[in-house]
Amino acid sequence: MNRAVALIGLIALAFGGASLAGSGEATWFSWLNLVAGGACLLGSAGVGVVRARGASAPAFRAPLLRAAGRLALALLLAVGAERGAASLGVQFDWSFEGKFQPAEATLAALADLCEKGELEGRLYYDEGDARRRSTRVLMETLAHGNCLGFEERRIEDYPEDEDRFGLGTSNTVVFVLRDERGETWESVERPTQGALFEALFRLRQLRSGRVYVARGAGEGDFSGLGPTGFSGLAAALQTEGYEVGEFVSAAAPEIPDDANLLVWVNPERRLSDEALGALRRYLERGGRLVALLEPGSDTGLEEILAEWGIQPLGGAVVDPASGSFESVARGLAPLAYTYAKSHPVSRGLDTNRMTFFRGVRSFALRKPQVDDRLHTVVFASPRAWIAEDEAVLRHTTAPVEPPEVRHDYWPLVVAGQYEREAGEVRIVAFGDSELASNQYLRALYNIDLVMNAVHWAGEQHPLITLRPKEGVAGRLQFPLALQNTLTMYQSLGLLLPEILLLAGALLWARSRA
Amino acid sequence: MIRFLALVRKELLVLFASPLAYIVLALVVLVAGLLFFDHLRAYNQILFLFQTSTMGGFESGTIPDHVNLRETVFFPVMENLGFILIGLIPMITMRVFAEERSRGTDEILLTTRLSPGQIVAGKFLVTYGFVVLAMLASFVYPAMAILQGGIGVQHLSSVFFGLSLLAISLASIGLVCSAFTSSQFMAVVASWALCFVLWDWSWLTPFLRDAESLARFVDAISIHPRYSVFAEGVVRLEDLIYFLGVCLVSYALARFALDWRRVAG
Amino acid sequence: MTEPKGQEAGSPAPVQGGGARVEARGLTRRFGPLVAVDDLSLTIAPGEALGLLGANGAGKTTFIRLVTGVLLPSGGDVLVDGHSPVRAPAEVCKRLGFVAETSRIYPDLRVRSFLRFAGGARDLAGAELERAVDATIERFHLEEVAKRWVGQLSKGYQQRVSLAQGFLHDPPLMIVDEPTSGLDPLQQEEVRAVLRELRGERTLILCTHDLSEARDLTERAAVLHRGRLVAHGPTSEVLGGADSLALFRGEAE
Repeated sequence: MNRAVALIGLIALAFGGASLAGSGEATWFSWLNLVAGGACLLGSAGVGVVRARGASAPAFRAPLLRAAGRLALALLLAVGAERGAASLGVQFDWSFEGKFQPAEATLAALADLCEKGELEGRLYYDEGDARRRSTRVLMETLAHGNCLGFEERRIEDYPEDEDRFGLGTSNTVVFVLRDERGETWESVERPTQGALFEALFRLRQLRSGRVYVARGAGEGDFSGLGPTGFSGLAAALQTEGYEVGEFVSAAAPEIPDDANLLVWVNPERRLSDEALGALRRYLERGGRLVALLEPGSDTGLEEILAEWGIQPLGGAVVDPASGSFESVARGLAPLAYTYAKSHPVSRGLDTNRMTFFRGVRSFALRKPQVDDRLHTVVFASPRAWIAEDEAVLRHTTAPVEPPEVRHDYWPLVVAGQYEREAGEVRIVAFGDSELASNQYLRALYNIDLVMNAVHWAGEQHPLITLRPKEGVAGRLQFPLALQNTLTMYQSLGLLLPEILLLAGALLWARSRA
Repeated sequence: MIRFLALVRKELLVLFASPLAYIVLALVVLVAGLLFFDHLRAYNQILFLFQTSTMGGFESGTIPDHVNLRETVFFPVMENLGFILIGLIPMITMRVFAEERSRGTDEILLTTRLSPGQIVAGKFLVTYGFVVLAMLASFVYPAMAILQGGIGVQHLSSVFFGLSLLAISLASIGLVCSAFTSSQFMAVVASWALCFVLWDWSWLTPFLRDAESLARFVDAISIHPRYSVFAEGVVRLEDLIYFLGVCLVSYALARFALDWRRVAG
Repeated sequence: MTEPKGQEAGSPAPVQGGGARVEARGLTRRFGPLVAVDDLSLTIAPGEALGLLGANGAGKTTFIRLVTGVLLPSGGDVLVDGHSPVRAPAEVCKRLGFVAETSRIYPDLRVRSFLRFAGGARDLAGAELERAVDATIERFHLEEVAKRWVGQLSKGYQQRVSLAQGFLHDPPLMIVDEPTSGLDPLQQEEVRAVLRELRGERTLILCTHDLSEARDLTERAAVLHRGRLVAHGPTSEVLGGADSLALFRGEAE
């Protein structure tokens, strides 16, 4: 009887909870069930205790105490171990994209914000949003072992927040930072780690310096949103604290003095003498340059680089270690995985963290002065060779390797550091510009290579890092013909259970025969 | 060890001699199959729509990232399957202890040289084995399709790991209910209710806005959020230990039930 | 997994020709207000066959459960060869063969599998187990049904299987609870024949409310009424009186 009451209590509790969970409101039905269920359970527990006392004889005490002790020990062990493990925070990211691995950059941004003030992360959600759990795991991962406080809030329970943060959709993360300047916040609507990282970076309100982008001779377009544009790079520069300005040689004779850095991306036409002169003078003043070239170009930029000991080579690098990619034949779009071990630009990159070049030229290095430091930062694979004519890049078939061609770790990206009287000159030269275009900037570790080159050239060494990567396997779309699905279902989805049921029936019939 | 193996052998024979084992196994496979193929069919239709017409601001021929096999088929199937296990697993666990008691065969067990701990451990072990087998069987189609599409063995095994641990802890709860009663009916209804009650407490958190530590506690004892983490492809030590803890506490409770019987009769 | 103390794994129970000695001292068991066994003191000598008699609800089954350790006593003590089922359950189970009432058996197992399990659970293994199972099947005339499911057997056969299970490891103490209840007279005779064979080799506690069965199989008898021992002595004396039925009503002495 007593157990039946307990059972009734359990059922009532289950239905009360389900009603509450389903409607999100405390209705008479849920209250009635919860109260009745709780009362039944408490009552039956009470009766149980009274009965146990009735049954208690001195002889039972020891065995019962032992049994209860075992139970308490198990409970204690389970809870203790779970809490201990939670505080250790050991976790393995087995997800296909590794999306829960906190990136170095994200952790660094968090650590920096923690020094500034009090940081809180809130996940706003609507009931039944399945994306929430992924965000929750990500936020819990990020919140482990630092000051970030994580909290989940149902949007309808916090109407004041809805107005304040302009919450438009479920699964939005808002970071709130309280420091001496007061309270600042950033909201992220599609909270991938990359987006969260950018929000954190915006919260830091860093001033990394001023970057000038050269324009006027058909250079890469930093406002272009298409796949060949460089708006992604511009956004990344802004995210990481740079102000971006334009340098047009026809409008200004000199590169402005407030420039921390000049970025020159693949001019289409030959540069004017004024522009080249301005660049020469800028470098001699102790300037900083990041130049992204293309195979076969001859714009005048190459001559200036050669003056600083970085001689761009003709032709294009063919790296048979890299397979074909999209419509590009084998070897023409090299995947680089060999990096300078100790150079800041390639810090953290290794054989597992590759960079992608869409048609690339190489360089020959010769120091202008003994004390200058010239390094290759990124190498091709040892099977790479140089095709004399860069026209091979437009072919759809893999180029044929000529006899007695030289295979080498050809340089793909180089960096130079020159002590001059006017100041230190830094130059980073890329043999390809497309790796930084919108189409390929987020591929593999390209953004890290480009942005770290910018940080190094602009002497913002603390910002050199590896950024969170967005999933590439999210696009897993293969259509199965409906007929195939049906066939599969009939042959597998139904056959297996039928066999199981038949086996059970047969066995049962035999045992009852 | 001889005794323990003899018990395990006997439990296996009893389990597979009953048609219920086959019915539950078939139901698990059938439900998993139905869910999977239904989602697959829906997914194919969506894919077709996106490819042939302009939908939701996407040009025809472009398919948005979130329409993919993993998120449109695999995860929802696993989510639903987890919940359906609440219905199916107690049907297997209900008889394990309750039937022995109602038939009086538990007295035979207790008067052999098997210790109560061995009896409970043997029964738990066999039930766990059966439940993992059922999960393996239900996992066949999703795994096949997903492997073909390339979700990655690691992620897949994380999901399977989570599913098995979930099934094992639901089975543990069912076994405890079975150990405390001699009626299979009581056992199965109690396990359904208890599994359901323990499934997810997150709905309570809005009501606990002022009691943060209570909200955290309530969150920590729910089963479902732990399972979700595995489904996302993250294996966390704390979740692993949580599930092991459920098993350990259930084992201790079932043992307590046997000890209690010596007192209460 | 916790094992009771004093249990030696792998060693089957030693056969003790003389049987085990059972001694109850002030044994009491209450269920709430109900006193099922009340201050019972009783000694069963090695090799003795004791008939435990009484009406339904007299406390016979409770007494047996106290001896086997399935229940804990509220007071007093019971010892099997000096071992208490509370403190040393392993020692008691080693010496014990227990045959519960009919139908307390697994219907889903084949006879042979069931006996194998019963042997395995008492630490018999390998060739030794097979020998014991074969010998028992022969002794209880179960050859014909060895491959059938227990649930398919007649009640008489089921009871023989139950006896075989308790006897498999050749225990010095055999406790048999109402072995013939619910059987037809022919089946009753079958079971009694088997018990007659076992008599004398070991200590036997036969729990019954059938007086002729007790006369037939036991040399001493104890009568319980409402948990109290109302008569104890040689079976012929206890049951010899004209109003032996009065014993069951608790009207003796």
